Amino acid sequence: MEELVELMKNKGIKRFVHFHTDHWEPFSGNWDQWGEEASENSDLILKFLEETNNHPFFNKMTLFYNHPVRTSSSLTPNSNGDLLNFKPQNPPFWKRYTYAVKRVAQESEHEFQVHIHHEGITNGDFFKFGHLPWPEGHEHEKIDAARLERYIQATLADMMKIVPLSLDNWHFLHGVWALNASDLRVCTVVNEIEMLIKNGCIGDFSMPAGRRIVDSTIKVPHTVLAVNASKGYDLPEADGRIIGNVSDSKEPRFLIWNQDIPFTHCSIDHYGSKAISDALSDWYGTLKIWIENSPIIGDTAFVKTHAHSMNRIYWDEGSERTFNSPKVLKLFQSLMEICNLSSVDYVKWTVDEVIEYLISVDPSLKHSFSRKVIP
Amino acid sequence: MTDKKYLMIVDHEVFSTSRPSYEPPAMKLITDLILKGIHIELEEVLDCGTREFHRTGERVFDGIILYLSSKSDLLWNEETMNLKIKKTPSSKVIDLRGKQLKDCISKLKGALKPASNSINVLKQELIKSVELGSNLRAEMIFKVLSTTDIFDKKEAIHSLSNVSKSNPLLMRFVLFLDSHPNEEQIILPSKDVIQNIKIKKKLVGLALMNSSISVDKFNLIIKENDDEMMGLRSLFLSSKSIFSANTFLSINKGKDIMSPDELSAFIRAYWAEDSQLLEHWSSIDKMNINAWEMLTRLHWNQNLKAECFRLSTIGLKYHPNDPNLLRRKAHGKREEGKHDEAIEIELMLLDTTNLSKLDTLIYLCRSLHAIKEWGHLLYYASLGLEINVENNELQAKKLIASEQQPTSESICPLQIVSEEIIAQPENTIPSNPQTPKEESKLQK
Repeated sequence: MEELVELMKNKGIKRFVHFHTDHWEPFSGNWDQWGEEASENSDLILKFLEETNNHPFFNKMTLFYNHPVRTSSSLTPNSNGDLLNFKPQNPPFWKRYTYAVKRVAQESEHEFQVHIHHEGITNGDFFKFGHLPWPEGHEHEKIDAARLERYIQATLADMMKIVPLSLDNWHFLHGVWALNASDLRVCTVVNEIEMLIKNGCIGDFSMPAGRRIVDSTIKVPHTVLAVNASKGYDLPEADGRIIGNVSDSKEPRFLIWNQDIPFTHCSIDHYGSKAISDALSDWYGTLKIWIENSPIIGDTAFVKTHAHSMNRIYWDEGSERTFNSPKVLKLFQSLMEICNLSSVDYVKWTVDEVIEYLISVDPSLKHSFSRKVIP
Repeated sequence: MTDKKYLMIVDHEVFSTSRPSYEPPAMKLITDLILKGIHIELEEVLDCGTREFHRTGERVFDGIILYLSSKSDLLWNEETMNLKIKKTPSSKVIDLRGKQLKDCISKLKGALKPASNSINVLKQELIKSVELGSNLRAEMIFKVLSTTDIFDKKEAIHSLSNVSKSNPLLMRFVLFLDSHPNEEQIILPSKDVIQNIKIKKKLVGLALMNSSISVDKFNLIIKENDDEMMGLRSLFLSSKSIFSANTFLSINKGKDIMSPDELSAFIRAYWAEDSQLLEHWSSIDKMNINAWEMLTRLHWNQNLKAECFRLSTIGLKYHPNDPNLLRRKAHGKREEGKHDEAIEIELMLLDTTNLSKLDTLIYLCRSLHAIKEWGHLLYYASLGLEINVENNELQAKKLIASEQQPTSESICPLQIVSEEIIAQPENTIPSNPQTPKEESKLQK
């Protein structure tokens, strides 16, 4: 412990911020009839609310919410020239589900942001609609981008009905970690960042990711220009600029949160893999990495964690939640103790609070992050 | 003075079927209350939150019992549960969170009555909810009643299958059953298409209890019958309720049991000419009009008119407004020479159904001709000719009527005199058009 306290003191910071970005996916099961699934999902969401409110470390998560949108297909192209259509969900007992999500939004300190899995509806290994009679010679690249944009817009519009979200100021977490076609097996949309900016998104929080190939080579939070190419954010043209230095950019820039901490040491998905579980068990080793490698912006160090807290594996009888696993609790209790001993404030922030701080350090980011969304 | 009614607010686990062997603690309390004659209904706490009250609708209660696993009232309190809607000004709320069950019973002492009181009321409510298609309410009442041995769940499922239009509801009921004693011995055919063998065995076990065959006999039929349809036929004929019969006919299907429409289509496809099977069907599924229609149609087609008439008359006891049965009854009356009664039926069919109006007018004219009611014959023959001017039979009858009744003084419509058969059909049932002059076979 003493060594860690020394390390923390040597960091020369005033506060240590932990922010948790949850891949919040509470919608599951077959909803066609009776309402059992609706009740079970809703029950878990309400349990989540009950168990995390007043939690010492996880009462203020950022919930990157994967809001379900209904995808239907047709055999003839729609007005967009596409065979796929997106509509709000409206299964029986939907009200049970939205009621529970609304209560989380209204009665907790958690913040809602946007998590989108589009691998099922755009070209790649996970595309679910290859069997449809796609017109001969049609170009996936063109139609996929337009489709993804419609999907994002449909998601935002429906999501806004139940959780607070600002259309010109929201954050994103890419499903299966493949921002801007950085892994063509998952995502082939090369103009994804441009599209996200156009639709009011400020930044992405999927790094460090489960597959290293998608990670940016800049291992700290930074901003980029939209470059329409596979993994365009990592190309020189993206003009990656590290947060903390005044960027003074005239163009809209996209935030990429990265940190030089291995993926296995940022996750609290304790059932996720042995490597993650081992990292959580080794609280000392993990904290050492956090303290040594957490990015410092101004007088503040940051560590971003993530998990899939609503995954049913964490809610089965006798299982431990992500946020209540003894390993996780030990890790954060130790971190808080180290902060106390080092006279460093231990703080929990949401993504919006992180951004607010970044802008306070570099006011020019306000301009970089301003979005003009065409209604 | 009416008995007091209590609402118990419970967690979803009380209704969940995901853990069949788990009995939520709330069930013990429900049993105690029911056995003490207390009328109790349940509502899922989540549906209180959404104000949807799927299981109790707009009903209000004299008392509300909170039985929730969460000890804290942060998530669920009177306000978040919208209890105001479910209370009368004098209703009491008994919050059992973190308390002993005996506390609840003691607070309800004043309400104690014989158990049969509340059980009978709930049974009636159950039938009403099933008939209305209020599935969640029906399930809730079934669940409440199931907590006592006084309520025979198996018998209830068989009888409710006659009124339920919802297969999912019946399946939910089945999930609440204990296993059939010989369930493991049941042999199922084509296991590859049966998704949930456990439920299928439960269903077959239940079906066997209301049939005339044993598990061994069932297994023998399944194993040794080379002709699958013959095997199914034997099973169908052995069933004593439509639920059993449907379960047997669905044995090879991936789904649990067929819907009433699917069952009718199945029988129509394979056994439309099988009078023994159709007769058995109509005896165990009296409220299914398809059974009566197919049965009477078969007898008509086989020229067994007296039998067709007899069966139509029986079918009309259960479906008094069915136009096809009424028409077949009218045929019978004509055969017997009771034309006045046949005319009454045809007049009703003329006004109230979508059977071919021309056919009805032709039948009407035949009876009027037979009893020499020339004035009325002229009137109705003319009406028919307005529909089809070339109809030879009506032309001939009009000519005869004109010759017999040269003045127009008595040309007027008839009035229905018997109130007994004046009835509006509940549903519009497609007619089975027949050409009276050809007396052709009815269509399947």
